[in-house]
Amino acid sequence: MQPGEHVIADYRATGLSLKTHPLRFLRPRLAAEGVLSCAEAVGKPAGARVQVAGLVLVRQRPGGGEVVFITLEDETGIGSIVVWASILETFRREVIGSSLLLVHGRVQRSAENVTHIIAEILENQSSALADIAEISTPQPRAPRHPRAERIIRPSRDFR
Amino acid sequence: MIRYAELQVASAFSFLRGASLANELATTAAALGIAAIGIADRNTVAGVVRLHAAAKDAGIPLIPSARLVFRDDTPDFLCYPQNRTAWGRLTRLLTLGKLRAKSGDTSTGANDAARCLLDYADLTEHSAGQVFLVIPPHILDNDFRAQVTQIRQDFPGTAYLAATRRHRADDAARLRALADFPLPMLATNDVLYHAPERRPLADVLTAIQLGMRVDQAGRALQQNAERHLKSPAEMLRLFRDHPEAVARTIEVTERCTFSLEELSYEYPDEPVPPGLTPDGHLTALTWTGAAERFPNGIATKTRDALHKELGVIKTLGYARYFLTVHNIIRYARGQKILCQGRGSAAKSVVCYCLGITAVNPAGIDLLFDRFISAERREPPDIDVDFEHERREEVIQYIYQRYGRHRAGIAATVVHYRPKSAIRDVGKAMGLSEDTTAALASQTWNTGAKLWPDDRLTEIGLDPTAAALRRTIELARELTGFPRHLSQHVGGFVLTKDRLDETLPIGNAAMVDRTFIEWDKDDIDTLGIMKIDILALGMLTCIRKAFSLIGIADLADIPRDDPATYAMLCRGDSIGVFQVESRAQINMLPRLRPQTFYDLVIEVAIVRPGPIQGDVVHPYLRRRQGLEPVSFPSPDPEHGPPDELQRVLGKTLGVPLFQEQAMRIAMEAARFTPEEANALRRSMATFRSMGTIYRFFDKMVNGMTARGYDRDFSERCFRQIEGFGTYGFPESHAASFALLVYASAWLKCHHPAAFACALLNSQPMGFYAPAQIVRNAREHGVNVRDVDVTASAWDSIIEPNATLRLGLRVISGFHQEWAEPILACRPRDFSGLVRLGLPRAALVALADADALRSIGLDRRAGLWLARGISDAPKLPLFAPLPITP
Repeated sequence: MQPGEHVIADYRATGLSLKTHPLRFLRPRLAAEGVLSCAEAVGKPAGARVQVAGLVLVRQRPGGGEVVFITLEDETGIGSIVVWASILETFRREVIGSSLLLVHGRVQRSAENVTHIIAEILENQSSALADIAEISTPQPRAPRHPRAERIIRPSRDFR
Repeated sequence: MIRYAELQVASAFSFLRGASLANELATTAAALGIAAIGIADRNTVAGVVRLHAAAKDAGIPLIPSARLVFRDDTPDFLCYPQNRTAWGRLTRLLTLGKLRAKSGDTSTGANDAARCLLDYADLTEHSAGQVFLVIPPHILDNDFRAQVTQIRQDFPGTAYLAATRRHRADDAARLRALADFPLPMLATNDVLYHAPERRPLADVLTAIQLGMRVDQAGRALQQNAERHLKSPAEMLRLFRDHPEAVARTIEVTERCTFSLEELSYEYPDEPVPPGLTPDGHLTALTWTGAAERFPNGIATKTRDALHKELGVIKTLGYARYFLTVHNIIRYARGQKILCQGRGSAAKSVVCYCLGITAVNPAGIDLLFDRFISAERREPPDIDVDFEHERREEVIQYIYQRYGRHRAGIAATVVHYRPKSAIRDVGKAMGLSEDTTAALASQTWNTGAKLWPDDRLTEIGLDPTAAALRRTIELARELTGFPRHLSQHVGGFVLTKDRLDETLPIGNAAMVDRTFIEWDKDDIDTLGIMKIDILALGMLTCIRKAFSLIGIADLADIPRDDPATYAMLCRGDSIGVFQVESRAQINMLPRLRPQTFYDLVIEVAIVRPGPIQGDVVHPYLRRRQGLEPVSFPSPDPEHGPPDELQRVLGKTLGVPLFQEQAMRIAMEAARFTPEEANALRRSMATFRSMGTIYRFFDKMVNGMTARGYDRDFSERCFRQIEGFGTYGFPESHAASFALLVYASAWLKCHHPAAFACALLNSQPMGFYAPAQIVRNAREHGVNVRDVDVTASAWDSIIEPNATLRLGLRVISGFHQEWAEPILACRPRDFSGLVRLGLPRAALVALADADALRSIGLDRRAGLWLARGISDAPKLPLFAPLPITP
């Protein structure tokens, strides 16, 4: 089995993998497309345009209001995405439906050194997760409920 | 003047029948000049308190009552209790019927009779003091005549016969026939909705109830839109041939003077040592507790507070309540179940000494010493959190100790949400399943913004289609209607005498649970004591971490640990109670908590209330010294210049807590305690949403009249209004802050044990196991994979603070499969097979890559595991069953 296959299988069976992060396998491809890791993006100066990608950990919409916070995770850390209402209108399906999300946005940094990425364009890249495994398991798995077939467990949203 | 009382009103608590809410019914009835209304929900009084409150607001008398539906062939009865004891009989009758029904299936309105099984004989046993109204069947045959004769004999002088205009051809003949029966005829309009426009919704409800489409329901639907509230003049016109039937409604109203206000409440008695009163016992327990809490002597301030609190408790007669809570806490402690009080109790030093809470209010100088105020005269409110995995033990203890006739869990009314409303209405309106599913997925917004046209176009629907428009309108209308009753998460009502003589008790869907028909707002309206036995995942986690590192109690954690605060200031808080959300993680480096009270603020400030009230930035700027801390003052002749400083001093002049909002109203706008209390209610309860605007003029004018700036006054009100959605009382925030501190301390000093405890308490918190593990590794914890030769069911700590994942992280792996593995660790695959586990267990282990230590990687393990077959269920040589 390829390492990528193992990691995806770990996630499937236990919801986590100690071997490595699934994004590591996509990194060469992402890097070639100019996508930064979360750690790199956080290091960029305020106002810089960046692209980051990661697994969606949590989506929150505080107070049912204007803004959605998305927390992404890749092999280097966590990226804090802010999606304002106007962008949300355009990309609501990406916001709601992605487990692997690619975000084009701008770096914003507060006086206390808290860094956000203000989303401008969002892309649902969830299908790339299947590529990691290059799914070729030796035997077909027994059919399961579709929910159980998710590779990455659903994020814990809106609490 | 024509007088008429409408005695047959079904509210929305006749689920899927009544099509109007309490306030709609009450205000319409009052506007029409109806003398009184009688509520007639089917075998329930669940909606009575709401209608009582609405009727009181509208200024119209309500006769609390119920429509009794029987399992034998008895016609339906409306039962109006004439006095308090008769009410007790009605609730006992309903309890009797409800406890007969096996499961507490409350989910559909389709079969009320199946959830409350009553016979005619039960009615005769509970008939003293009641007035009855018999609902005649469609066909007035000889059987019914015989029944009426029997009823007249059994309930002499107290039974009436209901007559309703159906607007059918045979109406006049039917009324004449009814008038001829040997019971006095009484006019009703058998009301289902307050106004004729609700008829379409009533039809949809009927279709939902029958599980049909509206266009299939045919004769089950109403033939006309006449079953609304009608004016006395209109009723007299309809009954012009039988004016005595209208007059009798007033006769019944005058006979039935019982009001829900008469339900007085008494705390349960607690056993006290001989020679002591409850007050004496409480005082003794408090001082014993105080000696333990303050081994180095009790400070004068604390001593004064204790004397004062005990005095108030004695004056108001609350001692037994405190003894009850103390008793429950003591039971939990005895069982080593971690618990902590929250709510206003956290302001009480008595509660601290009794061990109900773990925060010393004198220690952090909680703003308001008035834990229970004498002038408010409302029951104290103590909520206690218990470990979520062990709360059921506490609940069963309460049932066992107080008995099921004295203890019940409050109900929660499950309301139609946009999602459930569109599902049910869509089905009834004949929309396809994928259309309703698509609509149900578009319920982010509320009110008029629900399902806007462009969103409909986006999901491929035509917003101009008539059927779709109608469906959406009806679904909007239905949103907010009660759908069914469920049990509250843990609000217990305990009484001194029989609880079932105050309200009906029924079986809950869960085994060994009984619950009452009223929800927490209802109970609050009537001033009945409730104690919340709540479940908190973090307490489970903290207790598990404590047992890993050998700490006994929350009080044993070192206070004011700088390393813990430093960690929080970095925003390093994944897994920590309450402050692990994105918003909190962002707030931590800005607020930079250095003391316990900072954590209290941290918990309270990241709430929709303060955020919408726009107080977050002013507070932060003042804290960082970017803005001067100032307190506006009234004109000198109106009051001391520092009146607001005393209220807002600890929060730098910015109101953050509910208590402060109330104090501003009282100090600066001179609200009376009652008015401030009304303001608090309008902030706190969902039911009063929107009522806060009534206070705007009063508050702003009150403040400007005393010399405050208008702008400032309006800003104060807006801030208070923000709390209306969600704000924390300071006391509540203080209780939570302690758990924040405890979990942060664990994370800081025992990261492996903390992560281990978090994993073993799942599901809880914001983050999935993957992030908990990742975060632990970033903090230097060595984490090892789940493995068949090393893992237990739970995750464990191995030597050198190494975290070993437990078998429980494997999805689909059952706990009972773990036992043979732990009893006899396999050395190789054949050893594993010999444990006799089902094939699915072996496949799950292999799939999780948990067989590496016996030399098998995932693929090899799966290959072998799939190769074995499940052991046959029967012994091989068991005798075969003999077939004839």
